[in-house]
Amino acid sequence: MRLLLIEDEPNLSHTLSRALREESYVVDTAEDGESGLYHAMNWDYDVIILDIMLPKLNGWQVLEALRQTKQTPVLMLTALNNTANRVKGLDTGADDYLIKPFDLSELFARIRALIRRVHGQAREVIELNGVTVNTLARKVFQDQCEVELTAREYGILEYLARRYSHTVSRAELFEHLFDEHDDAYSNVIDVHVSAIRKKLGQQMIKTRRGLGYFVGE
Amino acid sequence: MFASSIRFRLNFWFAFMQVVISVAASVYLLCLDNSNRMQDLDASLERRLTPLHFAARDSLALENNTPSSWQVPPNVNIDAVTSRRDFLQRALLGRGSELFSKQWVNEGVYFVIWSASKQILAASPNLPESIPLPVAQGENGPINLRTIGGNREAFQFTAAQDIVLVGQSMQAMEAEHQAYVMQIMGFVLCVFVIGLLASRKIIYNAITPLEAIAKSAAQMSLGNIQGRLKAPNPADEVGQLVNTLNSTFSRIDEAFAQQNRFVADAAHELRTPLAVMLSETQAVLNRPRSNQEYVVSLNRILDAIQKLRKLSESLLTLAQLDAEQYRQTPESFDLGLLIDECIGEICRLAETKNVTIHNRVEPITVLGDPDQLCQVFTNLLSNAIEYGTPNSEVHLWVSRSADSAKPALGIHVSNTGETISHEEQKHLFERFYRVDKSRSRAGSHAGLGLAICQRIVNEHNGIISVQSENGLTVFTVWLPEPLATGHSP
Repeated sequence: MRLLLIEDEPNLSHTLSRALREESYVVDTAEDGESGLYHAMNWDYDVIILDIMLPKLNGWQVLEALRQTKQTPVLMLTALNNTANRVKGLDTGADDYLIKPFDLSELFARIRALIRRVHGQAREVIELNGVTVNTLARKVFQDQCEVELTAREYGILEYLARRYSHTVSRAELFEHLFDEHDDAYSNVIDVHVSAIRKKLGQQMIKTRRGLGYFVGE
Repeated sequence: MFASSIRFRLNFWFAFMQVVISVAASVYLLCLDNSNRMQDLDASLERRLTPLHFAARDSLALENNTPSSWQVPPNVNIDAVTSRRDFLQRALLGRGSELFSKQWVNEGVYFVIWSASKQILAASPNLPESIPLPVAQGENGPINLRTIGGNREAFQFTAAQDIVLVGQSMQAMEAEHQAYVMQIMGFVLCVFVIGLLASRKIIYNAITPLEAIAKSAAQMSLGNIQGRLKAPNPADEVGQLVNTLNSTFSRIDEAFAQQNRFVADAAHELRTPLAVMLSETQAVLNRPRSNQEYVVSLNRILDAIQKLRKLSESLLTLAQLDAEQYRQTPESFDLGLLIDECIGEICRLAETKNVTIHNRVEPITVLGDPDQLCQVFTNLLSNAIEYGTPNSEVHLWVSRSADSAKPALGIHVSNTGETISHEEQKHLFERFYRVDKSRSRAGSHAGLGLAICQRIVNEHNGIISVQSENGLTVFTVWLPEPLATGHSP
């Protein structure tokens, strides 16, 4: 899952991006509203974490411009703690609102909830033919036994599982699983998919030639 | 409670004054009327007395056969007259007499003429019984007047001590006066009722807006003073009162809003470093870390703590300045030396940005709190260094203002850097205002430094101002020159 963090306080930005990366998210950061909006418009993020008090363009302006074309879930992160501001944020198109200072665990939970909602799922555990993906624990089980996957492999499987019965192109997978600084080879996805097949069986991920991969019936 | 209402008291006093004025006016009018009628009566009696007087005199001349230039009345045949009494009877009461007519009788006028020996020579038929004889008052005396038994009488003594008297009943006059009294009373009553109604209406119009004001003022509370009072006529006294109250409310409202803004801003500024500390600590504790990671993390937390410390110190300073606890007896000291000290404190920051400070402030004596003024100049200098371009110069110099409206002594701090726009200059000294809206560039500054500077300078009866043009920004602290010592170069 790929996130965009738009936050101008450098210390907070560092802390959050590191913590999110440790949760296996792919994180891009922006330090002002303008570059944040640029990122948000040009990549399909799974969630955008947006501060309000930003240089150049403030959070409201970024959100308004973004909502003209994109429906990316936005979590507003701000120190402005009053009902009017929260209502304004949600009405402008924010999906959630978190007030500084916050607990990291709550931030993570809210991000997970946003991702779930986008994919129309209500639970943290996704069942595929004989394989269980626990997105909370970030673990995969086959016949009650845990299967060890690398972070990348897990990421690919989780994304495909969330897009159950949809064909996902390599480009989409790449965009959601690698940040802008990754200069991986284009066949890196194929390498990871074949590794997953080795661990979970060849029929787990199917290939649609010329279109991409898919999981499901 | 009823008596304490302005409306009641105004109505009461209005009515009371009207009663007093009406009574006084009617008493005056009635007295005037009475005396006018009396004068008229007296004048008519006197007019009627004169021909009788002449008749008495003529009759005497006839009796004494003394030549005289009198005219015999046309209705008297002078040859047939036998005596004085006969002459008078013929002249006054006889057929065709012009002196005593039917009209006299109708008006209740009567007359009598006594001879010097108190014998009645002639009398009108309607003469009342038992008329007291007037007392002698000298020959050919003046006409006397008297009131006897409801009659008014005028009498006169002739040269021969005959007495001539004309009288009239006052009944008719009194009846007319009574009618006049009724008229006046009716009129005064009408005026009184109309006045009472009019005054009620006027008082109602004057009091009603006050009641409306009291009502809308009662609806305001400390938390809700956004509402404003309305006056029916903004130009009158009530309107002026309402305007004054409204502007007071506005100022209180503004002060509340400012206070709320300040608290919200302070909370906001406190939240960000707290968020860093909380997130960083939780993230680090999530899993085992290397020593190096701990050091990086602790440095980040330390940074946030420093920010919090500076912020809380600034807030405390402002709170103390606001509470005016800082007002100590001012001492006179050398500002040049003080600025040297400030530069000493700030030189490390200047070195990191390779900024040179040129201090051209000569020794000047000023009056004030050296600690506070040191804070002002340290603040201005650190701003000049931080917002100035690296490798640039910061200049400090003194000038004297010729403008008597300004404090005399100007201490200038200049730096080269980005120009501050006029719009931004207006807000520069507001609490929590930062030219750069974000936190990143301003570093640890919360936007309170210049607010504190302004507060301190104002406390010293001075002014702080800023000029920024073509990349050169100059902050100037204007301070009053101490009168007693003057300046010693």
